[in-house]
Amino acid sequence: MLVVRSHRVVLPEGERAASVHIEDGVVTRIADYGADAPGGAHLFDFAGMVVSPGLVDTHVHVNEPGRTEWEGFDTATRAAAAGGVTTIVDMPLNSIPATTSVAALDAKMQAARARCHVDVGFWGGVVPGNAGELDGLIDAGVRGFKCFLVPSGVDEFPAVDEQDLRRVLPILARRTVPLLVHAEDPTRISHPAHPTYEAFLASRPPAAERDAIRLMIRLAAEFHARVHIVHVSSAEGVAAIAAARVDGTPITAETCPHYLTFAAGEIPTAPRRSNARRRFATPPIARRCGMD
Amino acid sequence: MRTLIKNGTIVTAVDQYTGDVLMEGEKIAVIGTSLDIPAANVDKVIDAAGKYVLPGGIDVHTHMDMPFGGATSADDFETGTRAAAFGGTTTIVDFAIQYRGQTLHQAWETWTKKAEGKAVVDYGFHMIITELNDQVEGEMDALVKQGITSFKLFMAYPGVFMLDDGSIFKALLRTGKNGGTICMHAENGGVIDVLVQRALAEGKTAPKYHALTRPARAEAEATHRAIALAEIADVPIYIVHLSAAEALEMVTEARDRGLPAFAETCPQYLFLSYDNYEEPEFGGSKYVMSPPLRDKAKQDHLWRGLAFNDLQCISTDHCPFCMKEKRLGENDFSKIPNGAPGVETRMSLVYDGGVRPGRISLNRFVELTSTSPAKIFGLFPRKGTIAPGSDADIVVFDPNRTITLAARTLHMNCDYNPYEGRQVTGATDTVLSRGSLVIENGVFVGRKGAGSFLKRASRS
Repeated sequence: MLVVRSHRVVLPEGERAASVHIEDGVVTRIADYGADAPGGAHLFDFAGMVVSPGLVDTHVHVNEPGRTEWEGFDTATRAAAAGGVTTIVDMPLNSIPATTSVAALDAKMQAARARCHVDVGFWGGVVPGNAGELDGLIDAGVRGFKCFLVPSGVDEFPAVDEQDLRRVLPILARRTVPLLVHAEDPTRISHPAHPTYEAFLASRPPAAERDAIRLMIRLAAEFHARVHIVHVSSAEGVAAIAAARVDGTPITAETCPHYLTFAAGEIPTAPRRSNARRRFATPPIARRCGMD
Repeated sequence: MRTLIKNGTIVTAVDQYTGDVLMEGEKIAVIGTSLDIPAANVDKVIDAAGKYVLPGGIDVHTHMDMPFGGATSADDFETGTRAAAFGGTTTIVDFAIQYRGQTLHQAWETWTKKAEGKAVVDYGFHMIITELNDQVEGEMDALVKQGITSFKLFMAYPGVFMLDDGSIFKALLRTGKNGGTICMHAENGGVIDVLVQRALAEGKTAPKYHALTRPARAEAEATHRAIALAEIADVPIYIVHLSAAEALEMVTEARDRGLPAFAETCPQYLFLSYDNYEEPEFGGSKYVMSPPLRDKAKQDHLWRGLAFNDLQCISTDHCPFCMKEKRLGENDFSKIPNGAPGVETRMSLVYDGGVRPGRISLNRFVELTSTSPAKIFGLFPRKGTIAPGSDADIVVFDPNRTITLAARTLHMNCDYNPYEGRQVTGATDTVLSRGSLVIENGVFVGRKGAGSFLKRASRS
């Protein structure tokens, strides 16, 4: 048994001095800081340090197998642990094969075996034509699915359109798992004219995100399916989602630290085109006015 | 005294899990899964299998033993807090009233006499200010230090309770310095008085005219004004007993702009409506309260506000008058004492009508009835959650037991109930207040005077 105690334990309802007992990896008891630890227990006293639940990052691209040189389970989960993250959920793309079939999930779990330093969950992928795989993937343990409405950046994970979504959303609604959507409207996106952040920004206007989010709100309401918009970057997107939630549409959203901390005018232009592609997350970082 | 509650489903504002809670003395000592504590080391074991184990309810809006319009509310601090406990509420925050010409400390003393030695569960006080001058402003600072950290002001009842905007603004500014919180009764009293006089002059004396002379827009206007004054003063504001969707819009708009505007609503505004005023034979008088009951069609707005945190608390405005007192207004609705019983029925009504149909989650239910009130009014984390070191105020709640609400079987000192005959599923079985049993399987086992005055914290 392990006993972790501190004067600053962050419990679900606030911070206080407490001791946390852990048996076989499970929190079994929360008691006062000074409570007697059972004989034989291994006691960690962190005094004034914050003890909190491990962080959860549900949006990680580990890329193994297939592109392990970008990142693999060993390095990703080691880095996660170093940053206080004890659970990650891996995205279905960038690995080869992409996690769009039960066989591909098996291959990924095989690759991950014995290489993970923290808990790992998996998202499945929705791509054109794989509706028949979804039930099997859910049975095999995926937490939900990811799809792109615009090219994902890797060829083996193509984008879906409204017709594709209409085939899969009834399945996801029936199984009550969420669909995570990279929401940018492909008809509103162009190639950047120059390798500058200004040009990149102009090629992906806020309207692209807004229109894609509107489509997803409409579909989520129609199919009563849980939709989650990943990395929302614009104030317009947030407003549309907030309005839909008030109307009872089962839609949620996330943003990322880079959309909160960097503003478009502050991004330096990379010296070479190849580096520029790596640095520019999509959707692009908004002008500062949307950040509040 | 060591009490162990075993096998229950522990529910807080954020959690739900099966576990055991060990209480030592007045505090929660240990929470765990399958705590194996030798029987000899525990004085009492409560099996809560199949039940919810909740933090005790906190009702931040009650009026026990309160004089109003020639009558006095029918529950005193003994009967009222006992009824609260029967219904799963272990803390009330009541209102002491400074009558004009009095100091705040005189008011506090008066209300202390009403509560001390009587209350069966813990209580705190808000202070109603009806007259503001330099001396009273100084007293506000003193009261905050002594644990009365919130002040209620009225924009209604001219000549009795109402403060002018300048005084309201001064009080708001003062809380910016002393860390208190202003609670506002937001109805435009001047407009309402004109409407009341006109109705009476036209011979409109029935109870329903109480509602028809207090339009939703008069509440919305005052709510907007209260928030605007708080914004100028740069302090938080808490709107009490919000009833109108139009007023909620004002709160929502303010919160969307990031202002610290807070509001509560009450079960009567969620479950009763204007239609009740049309009940025959003076029956409408049972529902005469301010603000009045509103259109049924607008109740969904309030539920949405609760779900989305534009409304943070559900309190009761418990202020019962028996039919004999209500009849003071038999020929003039403006003489009907304002108020209705509610302190005992809140938890079951909100569980049955909110959680069971899926309007709010079980966690949100706990948050609205206990955790948020504790946080907003300086009682957290001593109260409002289940955690080691918190007061052992615990409710064992049976989510499957159905009860019929009726004045005869409820414990409030009132000869009618606004929900008479309504069946609700979800009922309080057992209640502990600071580690002592108050209700055991539906039977009162508490003690008059066991409740303590709660010195509340100011905003930090």
